[in-house]
Amino acid sequence: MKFKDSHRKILIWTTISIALGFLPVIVTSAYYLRVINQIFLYSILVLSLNLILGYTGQISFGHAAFYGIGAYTAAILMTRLGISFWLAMLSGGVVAGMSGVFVGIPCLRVKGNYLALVTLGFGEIIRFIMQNWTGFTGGPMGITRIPSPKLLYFDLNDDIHYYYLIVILYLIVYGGTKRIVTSHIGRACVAIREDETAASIMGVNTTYYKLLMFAVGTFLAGIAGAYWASYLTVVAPLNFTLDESIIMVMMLIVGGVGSLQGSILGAAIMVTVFEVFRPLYEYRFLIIGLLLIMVLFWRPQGVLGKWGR
Amino acid sequence: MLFQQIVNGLSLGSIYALLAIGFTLVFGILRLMNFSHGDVFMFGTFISFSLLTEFKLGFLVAAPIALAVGGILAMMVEIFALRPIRKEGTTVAIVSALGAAWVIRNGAQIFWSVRTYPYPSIFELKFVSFLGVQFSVAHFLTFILATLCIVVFNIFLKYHKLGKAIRCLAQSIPVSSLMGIKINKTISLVYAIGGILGVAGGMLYASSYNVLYLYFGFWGVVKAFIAAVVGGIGNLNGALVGGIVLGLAESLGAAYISSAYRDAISFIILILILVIRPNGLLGKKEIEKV
Repeated sequence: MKFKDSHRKILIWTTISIALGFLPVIVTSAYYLRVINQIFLYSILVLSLNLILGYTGQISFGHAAFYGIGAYTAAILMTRLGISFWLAMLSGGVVAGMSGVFVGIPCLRVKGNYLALVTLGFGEIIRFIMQNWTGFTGGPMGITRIPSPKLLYFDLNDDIHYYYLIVILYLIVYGGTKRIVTSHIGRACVAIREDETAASIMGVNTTYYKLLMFAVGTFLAGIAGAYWASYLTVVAPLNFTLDESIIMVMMLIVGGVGSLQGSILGAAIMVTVFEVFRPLYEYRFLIIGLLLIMVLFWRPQGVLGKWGR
Repeated sequence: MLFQQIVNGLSLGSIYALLAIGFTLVFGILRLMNFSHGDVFMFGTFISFSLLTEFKLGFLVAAPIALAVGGILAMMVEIFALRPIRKEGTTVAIVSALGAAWVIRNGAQIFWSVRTYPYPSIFELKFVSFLGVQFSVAHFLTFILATLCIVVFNIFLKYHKLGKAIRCLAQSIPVSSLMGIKINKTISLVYAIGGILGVAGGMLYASSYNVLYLYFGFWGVVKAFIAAVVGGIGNLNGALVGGIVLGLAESLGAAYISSAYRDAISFIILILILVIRPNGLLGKKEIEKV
């Protein structure tokens, strides 16, 4: 039997949706569910980073800071002003996106290694603020007792509820990024990545597209941050360190730069490796570092990467 | 107070310059940000610490061993983590160097655990009065020693055959290879020299502030990069100027603004430099060829 292309797509998506829908029926352990939630969370973060780094070619080592801004914004709005989770999540994304543009403007002047360090610097400055502005952010202790989301009259406070929430968020984000990437915007971004000078000669407004990608990428990171703040019920500066940004970049590289499926694969691989080596906690970074060097040795473009030279 | 802070700033700045040289050399030749540099000199400094305190060796015995360890470790990083991907893009190189940095840092963690150690002073902690102000002899001697290392290295680079090979490589790798320069060997040498000078800087830093901890390397390399960029990356005199500017700004900023934001000050300087003068204070303008 032969399928038309669109039918095949519908079939694949239905299968995936059903599989994702029934996953909690098979996986009943709270621990595994938590790990799966974490994989989806990181997939969203890596997808958003992929827009900035993978498609537009702008290295960012400060992504965890925007994730943190989203988390803090949502946490402050929910605990101090009693705003509902949904609105707080949206505002978290908007604030993160606005700061992304704010950081992106000076970043327009630099590229490559310099950009890596400038974003790293901004990320650290944001973390310093989180840590030292005790009156507003709670300082090193962070903000605790963040409420869970409410849908009509239900209180979504179980691991399973959070699982369905993140899956829906993930599918929306995946669909959205896919639309962006396959549209003229995505093509303009790839042109910038491949050769910025040539792109600007061809009439691509490089400033606009770079800032747009910074805005969209950091907006999505902020959304993910708001979700995670509500899930953990606590935010602290320790969750948004430089290592976190580095791990996101590593996930992206391992999965494959400029590949949407690669983003979820990279996140899944790295989260699983971190969990598997949890008993060897002391040697974790040693093993991950060696694995990373080996992956880059054999496949410098990542497992699913298509970024040919 | 002000004068003392300036002396502190100069000594800190000369250490930053020492750390920045290895970094700026690699960048000048390969356009690669070697994030593992910091952890290499952290490891070497920890070796010297163990030799000084546990084996009770004299400083003149411990220092050469630590320098050699730093040089060999830097070479190993180059051979195993960076050489295979030399032709890949910036991001891959940064991530691979970060992977190597994690391996070294975790290795150091297994031996020395996450603790802050008191590093013994190389110089006696004496204060001397000069023109009515007090400043520490250790800081002054650190400044002299660091400057001496830089001068010796500059002479090596200018007049020695290998130094000339390194400068040739910085101009163009393919042409150097046509001229009969062994590319891989010379690049390994550059890494080794960077590691050695880095360990020297690391030991001076640890001894003048009497602390040594695991993350000292990573922050060191970030400071080294900032110093290199402020002075003009790939330019050795720039590393010196940038290091001193950074050292002065940090010690004056910590004294007069706030010590909590000490690290933020250096990032603000970096961002200002990149926005106002992207090629650094001494850098030449880079022309983008199409």
